[in-house]
Parts: sequence; C-alpha cells; structure tokens
Amino acid sequence: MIAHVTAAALVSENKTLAHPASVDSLPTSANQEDHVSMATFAARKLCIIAQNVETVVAIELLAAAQGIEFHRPLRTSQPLESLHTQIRNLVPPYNEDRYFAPDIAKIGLLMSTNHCNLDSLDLFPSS
Amino acid sequence: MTLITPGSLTLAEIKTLSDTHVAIQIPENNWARVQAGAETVARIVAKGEPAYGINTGFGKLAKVHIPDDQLAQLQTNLVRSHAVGVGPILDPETTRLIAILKIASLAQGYSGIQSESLRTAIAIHNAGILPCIPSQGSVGASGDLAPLAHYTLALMGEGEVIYKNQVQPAAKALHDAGINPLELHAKEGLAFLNGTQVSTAIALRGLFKTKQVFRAAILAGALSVDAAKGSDAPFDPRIHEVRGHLEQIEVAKMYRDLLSGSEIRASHLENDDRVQDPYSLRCQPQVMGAILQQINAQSNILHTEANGVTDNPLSSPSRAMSSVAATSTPNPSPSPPTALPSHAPKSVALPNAASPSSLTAPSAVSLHFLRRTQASTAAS
Repeated sequence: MIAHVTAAALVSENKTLAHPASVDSLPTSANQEDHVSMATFAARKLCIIAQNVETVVAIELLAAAQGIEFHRPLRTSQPLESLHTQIRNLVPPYNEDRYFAPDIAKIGLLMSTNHCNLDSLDLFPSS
Repeated sequence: MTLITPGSLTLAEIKTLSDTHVAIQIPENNWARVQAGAETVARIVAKGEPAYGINTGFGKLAKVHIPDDQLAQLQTNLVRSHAVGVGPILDPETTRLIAILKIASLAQGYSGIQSESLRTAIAIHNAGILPCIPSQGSVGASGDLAPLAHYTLALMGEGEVIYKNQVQPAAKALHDAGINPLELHAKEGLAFLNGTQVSTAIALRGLFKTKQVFRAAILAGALSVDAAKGSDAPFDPRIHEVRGHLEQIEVAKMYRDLLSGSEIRASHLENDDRVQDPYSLRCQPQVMGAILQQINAQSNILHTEANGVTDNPLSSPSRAMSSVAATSTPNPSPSPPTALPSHAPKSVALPNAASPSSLTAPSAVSLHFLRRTQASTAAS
C-alpha cells in the first residue's frame, strides 16, 4: 500500500544528492592544487540519483498499470497496451495485499537489463 | 578483436566496450604516435634539464631534482604512494571503461609512454583482467589520482584484480594469463595516474542509465495520463511549436504517438468537466523536453572528455614537453578530437513554427539514443 512512500523517500534522497559537488573545494598538496573539481563524487552521485529515479519510475509504472485496469473493458493505445502486457507478464494485478518489494525490483530489472523488452517496442516509429 | 579509434570513439562504441568485454586493438598510426611521444621523453631525459614529473618530484616537491638512475623508481614509488583509495570497488562495467578510456588517451601519443607499456595495458584488458579500483578518494583534480593508481598498480602486478570471476592478487592473475607486469619508465607513472578517466567513466555509466530511465519515464508518464483519464490536448504540436524548444516539440510528439488510438481517451472527450489536468500530467513535454536538452548537452561534454587527453605534462610531436596548467585545458594537439556526437542537436535556432519539415530533421537527430543502439555499436 505504501510504495508511494518509498518513491517519496527516494525523491527526497535525490534532492539532497543533487547538491552540486563542485560547490565545495578543498586544497590539497600544500596548496599547490588549491582548487579541485570534485568531479568524481559528482559522477558517483549521478549514478545513485539515476538508480533512485529508476525505482521511482518502476513504482509509477506499477501504479499506472493498475490504473489502466480500472477503465476496462476500455483499452489504451496499442503501444501502451503492449507496455501494460509486459508489466503484467512480470507482476499480476493487486487484488489483495501481498509481498510488494519483489514487484518493484522486477520492474526495475525490466527497465535496466539489456534485454529490456521496453526497448524493443517500436514506440516512436516516426521519430 | 575490435579496432578502436583513439580520440574518436562514438558513445555507442563506448557503451558496448563498457557493457561487455571486448578485446581491442589500435591502428598502426597510433603506435607511431606513441613511439614519437616516447622519443620526446627520452630526449628530455638525455638533456638532463628539469622537466616536471620526469626528473623532478611531484606537487610541492616539483623543485626537487631526481637523478637519472632513479627515474624508473620514482614512477613506481608514485603509483604505490598514490594507491590510497577507499570504499566499495567499482563495478566491472565502470572498470572496463576506465581501462578503455585510459588506453585510448595514451594511444594518442601525447603522454610520452613507451609502446611496450601500452601493449601491456591492452593485453591486460584483452585478457579480461579487471583491476580492483576503490570508488572513493579522488578529488577529480589534475587526475583521478588514487583510483588510477589502483588501476596502474594492478598492471604492475601489485594490488588485487578480478579475474575469472575471482578477486585475486594481481601478480597471480597476470602470471596465469601469461602477461609480464608493467615496468614503468620515466614519466609513465604520471601518464597513467593523471587524467579524468575515472570520473568520466563513472559519469558515462550514469549517463547511459539516465537515458534508459528517461525513456521509461516517458512511457510511465503516458500510461499515467490514460490511467488518470488525463487529456492529450496539452500535447498538441502547435503549443510546443510556438514556444520553439526542439526537444520539447519532439517529446510532445512521443506523448501523442503513445496515446494515439486510446479508447480510454476517446471515452471522455466530451462531457468531461475537468478544465485542465495537474502540471505533472499536462506539462510533461515541457519538463521532459528540458531534461532531454540536459541529457544531450551532457552527452556532448562527456563524449568530448572521453576522447580527450587529460594528463599533464603533455608532449607535442612538434614541441618539447609542455606542462599544462589544468586538466580542463583544451588539448594542445594538432588534431584534437572535436567531432560532435552524432546525436548532438545541430542547431539551437528556433524552428519555423509554420513549417513542420524544419522540425523533423534536427529533433530526429537529437533523439537518436532513444532507439535501440545495439545494432550501431562497434562490431567485434
């Protein structure tokens, strides 16, 4: 029931992580290297932020997939129905409470693996 | 064996070389450039005049002269003393990419290392030996010194590596793979330690992930519009064309394409008393378009950085060793890698709102990465 709280926690983490690494500089080597970029930490934070966003989007996909089902028998567009099918192939609808965390992980994996079926959908044929 | 072109790797090639282990080789003319760079260093050593990092100390000790018979020891000591990284070990994809970027940088011939040393670095990469590089301890200054020291230390047969899925002493892995450890000569430790390959590799991994997540976020956003019975009217092309941002225009089209033909949308075209949807639904093209602009801009920067030479001092084929003040200084090279990535927006000029054809070409180019990239990556 509280996947949105997980999303809120991750979004809040990202707000703190978004503080620019370059705002601070500490001199090293007896002031010979007096201003430094801190680029390495900036890059590491990017990876953490991107991973958090992936999880937030996974939760949104689960919520949206469930939302679409409230409108049945109406169907959404062909590409979004394909997307919905892929989500449901991994995660069944929520008709009663169940262990939720693995579902978030599965959709995250769908998004992040190289075999991600989302990528193989021809969603933007004219672009 | 994939032939890579140091200085002009595409982002798609970089991603493939990072995602998977690909054995590489470099073109013959690069070997000639490396040789020329090594000869420059040899001339400086023969002259005996002070040259930073070749026959001097480092940092605050730059004024201390190092005698000729200790120049190799100086480089070995440099690597050992700078291997002070802490924290979790970088993942295999990032580690592979660090090796590729370092090899591609050294292969351009500005760093003054000997061909044999570059051959060792390539052989170790090709054998699938991954140096254990701690992720913390670099300030990203004139180089990712500590992490690159761990990388270099492994090439020297010290420290630890991952080989055949096992963390093991570098010396054992090199022995098992039949590779002689790197023996550093004058200037070479500095050439390996200096440079932004670690921060660039980590940032590139973040960029690849960001592109993937961006794509999924567009899908999730479109699905959410229908789930919440939102309107597709805010995605009307005219709204975005009069504002003029190419990425926003293209992203709006994605939402239109994704929602086109929806029965759910058709069911509330009339008699829907909601005048407008919340920003989070209706302003998606404006926000996601701005994000796409940022992604494209960062792609350009990282693509250039990945192909650049960022250590110092640098040797130019036509000049003696020239010390470079900062790693951000543009390459003083005759042929700097300035080619823009193929997906770069070619123009920032506002499109003619009345002419859809003027919108198609640049935006299609800018969205190159949204399509599958596997087919266009480096062939092995």
